[in-house]
Amino acid sequence: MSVRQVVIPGDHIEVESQKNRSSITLGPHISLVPTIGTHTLNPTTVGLLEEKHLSAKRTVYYVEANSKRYLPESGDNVIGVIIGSFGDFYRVSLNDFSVPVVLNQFSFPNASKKNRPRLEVGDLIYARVESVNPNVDAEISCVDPTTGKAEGYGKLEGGMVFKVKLAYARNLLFDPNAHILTELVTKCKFEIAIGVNGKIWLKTDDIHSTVACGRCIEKSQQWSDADIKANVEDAFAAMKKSKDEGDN
Amino acid sequence: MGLDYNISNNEQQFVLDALKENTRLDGRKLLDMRNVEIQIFPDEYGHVDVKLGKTEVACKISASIEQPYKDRPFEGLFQINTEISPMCSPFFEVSQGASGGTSSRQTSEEILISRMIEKSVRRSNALDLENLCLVAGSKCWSVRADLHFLNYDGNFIDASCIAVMTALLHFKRPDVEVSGDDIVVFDTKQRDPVPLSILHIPLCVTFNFYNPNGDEENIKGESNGELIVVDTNLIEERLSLGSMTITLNKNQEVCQLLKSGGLNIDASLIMNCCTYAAKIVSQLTDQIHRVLKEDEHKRINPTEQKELQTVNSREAS
Amino acid sequence: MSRMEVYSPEGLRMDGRRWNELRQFSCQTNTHPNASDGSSYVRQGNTVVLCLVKGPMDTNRATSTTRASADGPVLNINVSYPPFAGIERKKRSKNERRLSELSIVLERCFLKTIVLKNYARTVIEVNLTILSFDGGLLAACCNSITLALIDAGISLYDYVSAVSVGIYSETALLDLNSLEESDLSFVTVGVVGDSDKLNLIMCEDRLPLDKLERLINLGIQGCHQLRKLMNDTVKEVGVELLSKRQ
Repeated sequence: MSVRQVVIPGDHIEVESQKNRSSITLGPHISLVPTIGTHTLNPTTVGLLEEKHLSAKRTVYYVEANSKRYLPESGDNVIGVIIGSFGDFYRVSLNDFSVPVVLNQFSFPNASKKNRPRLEVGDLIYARVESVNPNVDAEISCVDPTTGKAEGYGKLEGGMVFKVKLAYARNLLFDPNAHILTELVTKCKFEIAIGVNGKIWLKTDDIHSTVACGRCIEKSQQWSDADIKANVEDAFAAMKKSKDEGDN
Repeated sequence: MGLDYNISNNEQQFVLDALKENTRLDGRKLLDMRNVEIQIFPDEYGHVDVKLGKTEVACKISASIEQPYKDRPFEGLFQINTEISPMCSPFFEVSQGASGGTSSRQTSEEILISRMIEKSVRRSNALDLENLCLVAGSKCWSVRADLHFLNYDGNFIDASCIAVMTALLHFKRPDVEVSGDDIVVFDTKQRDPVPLSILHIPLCVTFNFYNPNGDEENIKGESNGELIVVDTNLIEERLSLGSMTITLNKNQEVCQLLKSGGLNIDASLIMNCCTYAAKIVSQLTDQIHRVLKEDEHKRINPTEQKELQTVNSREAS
Repeated sequence: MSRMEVYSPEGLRMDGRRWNELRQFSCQTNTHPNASDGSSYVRQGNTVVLCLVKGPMDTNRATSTTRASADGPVLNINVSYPPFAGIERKKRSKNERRLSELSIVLERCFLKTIVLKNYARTVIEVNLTILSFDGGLLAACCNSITLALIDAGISLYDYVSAVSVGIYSETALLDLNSLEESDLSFVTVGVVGDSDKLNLIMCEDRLPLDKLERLINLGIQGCHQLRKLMNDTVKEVGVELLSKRQ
């Protein structure tokens, strides 16, 4: 069962019986039915079943699914927009038309009562979801808890945000050799921040290449791996051409 | 709270900077329209789906026989139903009915869109209402256009105007025979249905305005540096500082023109917009005619082809 | 009844005006000093409009529930069209689409003319009453709001003056009355200050595109005349106020 297989709710996936319950870790969109002898996994949504062996004794199961609306999960890297502030908190929107999350003004590296960042409404931030609790607003933070430093989190200056599907954003963030990104690197210099809430922030030296990069990423959701190189090539050639026309 | 499009300052700045360099997020120039896709549903008359990029609008025409208004006994009825449901975007809330005030921005947007289509198509007499009269004062055709907004990515007005006009041109009502007060309505299989009489094809073009300089410069300055953009997508539309919609037909007649507030634009620039709109409208009109013609071909041919096919048995049954 | 001539060969209109003449225009400000923060009374020919402005005020004092916006004031414009205003006595529902469109158009018109940053998180309520209607409704409303806002002391970049212009075969006619309005295609043009920049342009009838330019040009001239007339009134009031203080 190491192959990725499509599962739908109602499927019963049997897991080898010699594993005991504690060796199975459940990820998103999956539940476990405890039966004697075997363990049966029940997916709760349509998607690809993934199995990852963390160590000899621990296996993670989860369903890789593409949901439409982002719901915060703790540990996620997200891009948000400041939409207001109250007390010591900023209100941050991760998604249009969703309940905003909160960001403590002290959740920045070295922030203190006297020295804290001044963010304005409309500023863009890259942050990490700190805690999610159904009874209170989810909270995000701009500090990496392991180091206590910024580690890339914080206010994003300039650039542009492009929107992609949630599953694609996860893929780009977690796959170190994401094809489209390695291809774009050969074309131009860019800064990138990927939020698993489906937002990708891009910054390059000029507007034309930002637009070209952004469109490539957006469109690459529909491209097959084999086409990416040619398509990126085309997009940048077209960009150069229109830029030259604009200059003349 | 928070139930709105939240556009960050970064995006705002970037879009403006891009416009200044004559590019847009989808690679268009400022005055380029998106590709218009007109799809006619093959099973019915007058059911059209129009896509303008990601914006999608469907229009369905239906007709029934009803009593005309007392003060206009010789005219048929024509009604355009535009209700924007949250289906296209959560931005449009469920309409609160008659009691809902116009205070919220969502509803005011909705009123402007529906009034605009109403004025463009109905008030400009695109549909010949006198032709719909059957028996003066007692019976007439009542034509109803139902617009459904399926997806919102800016520029609803232009898309819906194209949809309504294509659907009206395509629609055919059943043939009727009037003798005295009796009316016989023929099934479409008995007699060929009759197209509506359309007097002209009004189409809307919306321009949006952006201001790269400050407010003061816009009102007092001489530079006229305002940027003018055609067929905006969602983010551009949200960021624009004013818009103007002009409705024209191919005979270079203005059917409706509205620029309500927003940036102040020099009269000469407005005239340029109007002449440019005329160009777009004539292209779109040609496209609509082309689509209708193709559809007509498709509709005539299948039966003929079926009969002419060699695989059909030649034996007399 | 023989059809009235809209524009005689001698160059006279139904009411004896030439093509480029406005109807008699008179205006007053501060007509209702106790009922409102700013008020005006505008008469353009037989169209009479009364405008009351309340505000800028706190959002929770406003009559309708509105959300405050951080960037500028919320402008609430209500147009009431009493049954006696038109030629025919007719009751109009408050939610008539045409009137709600009118108020939205007016709202958008003035939002860019008010100096927004001075009035963040406030509400400005504008109540218009049409006392008598004889054409040029949008134009008269626009002018009366300008005057009432000035009377209320709300900072504006400049006057917004508006006028309607119609076309009779080849001739553009300025400031139509309702008889002319029903016969001709017309455009309402609104101008900011004495520039050539248009704040408002609205046309609801069919009209050849090549005539539009002529109409707009005449409209701009008319607006400038109106602005001058309004400015004179405002200055007079100002001088009077100053003299009382001493």
